[in-house]
Amino acid sequence: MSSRFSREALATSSLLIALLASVTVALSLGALDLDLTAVLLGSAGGIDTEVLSNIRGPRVALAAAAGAGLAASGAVLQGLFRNPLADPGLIGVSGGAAVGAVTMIVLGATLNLPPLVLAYSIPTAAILASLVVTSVLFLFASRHGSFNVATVLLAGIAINAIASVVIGIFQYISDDGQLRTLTFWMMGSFGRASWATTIPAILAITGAVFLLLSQSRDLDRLQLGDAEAFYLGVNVQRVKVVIVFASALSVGVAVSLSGIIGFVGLVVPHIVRFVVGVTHTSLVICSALLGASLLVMADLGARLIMIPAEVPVGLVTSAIGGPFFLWLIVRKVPNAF
Amino acid sequence: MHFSARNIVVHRGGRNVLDDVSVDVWAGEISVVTGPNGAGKSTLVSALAGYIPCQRGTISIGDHEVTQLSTQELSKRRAVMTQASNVVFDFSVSEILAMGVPSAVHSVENLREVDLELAAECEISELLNRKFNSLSGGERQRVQFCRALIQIARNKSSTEPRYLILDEPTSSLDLYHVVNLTKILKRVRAGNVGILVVLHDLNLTAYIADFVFLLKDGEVAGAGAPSDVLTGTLLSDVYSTPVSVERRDDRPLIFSY
Repeated sequence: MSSRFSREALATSSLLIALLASVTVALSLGALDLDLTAVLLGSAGGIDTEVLSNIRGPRVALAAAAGAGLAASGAVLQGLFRNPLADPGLIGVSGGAAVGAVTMIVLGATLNLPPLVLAYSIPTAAILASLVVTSVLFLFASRHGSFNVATVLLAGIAINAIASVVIGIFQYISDDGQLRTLTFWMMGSFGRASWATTIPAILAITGAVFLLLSQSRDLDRLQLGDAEAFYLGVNVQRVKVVIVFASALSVGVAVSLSGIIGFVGLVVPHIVRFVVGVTHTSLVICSALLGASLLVMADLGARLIMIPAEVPVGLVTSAIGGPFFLWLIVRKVPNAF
Repeated sequence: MHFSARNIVVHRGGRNVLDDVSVDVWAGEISVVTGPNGAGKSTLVSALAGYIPCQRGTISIGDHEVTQLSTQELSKRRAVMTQASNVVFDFSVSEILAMGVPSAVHSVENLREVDLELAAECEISELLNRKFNSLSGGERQRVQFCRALIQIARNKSSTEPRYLILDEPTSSLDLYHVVNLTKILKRVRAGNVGILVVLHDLNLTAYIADFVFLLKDGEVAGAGAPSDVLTGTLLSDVYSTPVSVERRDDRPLIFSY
């Protein structure tokens, strides 16, 4: 059994190194290439230091946090719904979060909130909205006692449709400045990262990932079935509530700060399961690390493809994730529908 | 000290799936629940194990009512093998077995010698590194059975008996493995464990049961020693088909065609 342990340790440490490497590369490259050593030693110019500490630093940190949160949430939602195709984007959790965020952007202005309160009320609204969506999905999926692979995805289609209607209405009534913000939300970007919002986001997502980790062994047992997990001593209801809450927290935070970034939560856990294994402790840890590196690299791609312009990072992840999703449907679930 | 259901009623979908059913499982004995399809056998398993609530009646393990024990405490006193055998993700057999180990330490690294001996006894040692989903129905059943045995073995208590509840554990097993399973049950029975098995095979029932509960339409149609319950008249009535019973080695031998 020791070969297995070392395999997980090896995967975790390689992913940690990969994350450090991608962060270093992403901090160095961009519209302005930076010499990181020079900046750290204080011998670089003022602009370089400014770009690193106030623009690129928070941006890379936010990309890593969002990637970790989305990938870990995807991993546990797939386990919770016993559905390998569950992804926060596909099943409507991200869409719900976007509705919460957008509502606060457009209507928050009319509430005359102080700017600081408004900045935090957007993530709060997004978290609440994704909590509502996850709970509704959950009730739908468990209505007939056992989960059906199709139900969650079909409910997700419906929720995404409703979300786009609500967002469409807000687009219609919003002013020019708000419209730009909304468009950014729908396609995903880390371009607005600042330390003031990124640091709380990192803390919230880290907290959520640890909360998910605390449930990972019970989540393994849940794969045998609700009754079977109960017979093994799992408090099934509590596990489900904690997972719904923690995944809604991390998706809500990620979406509220960076918009809808699809497929990370789908692609990453599948790669990890394939390479490391399916038990949820290592799955959550490795998904969080790999999700972080992948989004940091995807954001770097989004910044580099069309310098000085930027491509929304959501387009990059969807361009990779869409075909992957089709491949999964063909390969993994021939009889799911 | 025993595991018992007293006059339980379980109401589902507009009818009583179990109606005034009483069942006792004593440590050191094998009780078999049998009866036609839809008689309420699996519902009885879920109710006994504390998963579904009873509208009336009480279920108790030793001095405790099941409803007053936490999920965790229940899992230390009884293990259950259900008929479910689907796992969405590709868990290995040893990962499935490790789920039987109490929650604080569940992980493959914590499978100990005692667990591996049980795996050998269930003849699944060769399957440990295989994916559960790649196994045949009978192999999966042996793995799930072993997982329940591990749960019982890992919650050993010096005084309190533990209980093993098995819902049709032999439905996909070949003759050899059915015989092996009965051997294991008889060994486990001797270790202060009470066993309740749901079975369809009446001859197997006659062979292993210390006590038989014959269910029909949610009610107990017969309860007692195998030779008292497994009679031609009662079985013909309960199964609505002619059944004849002979005796061999002082045990009932049942023929239906």
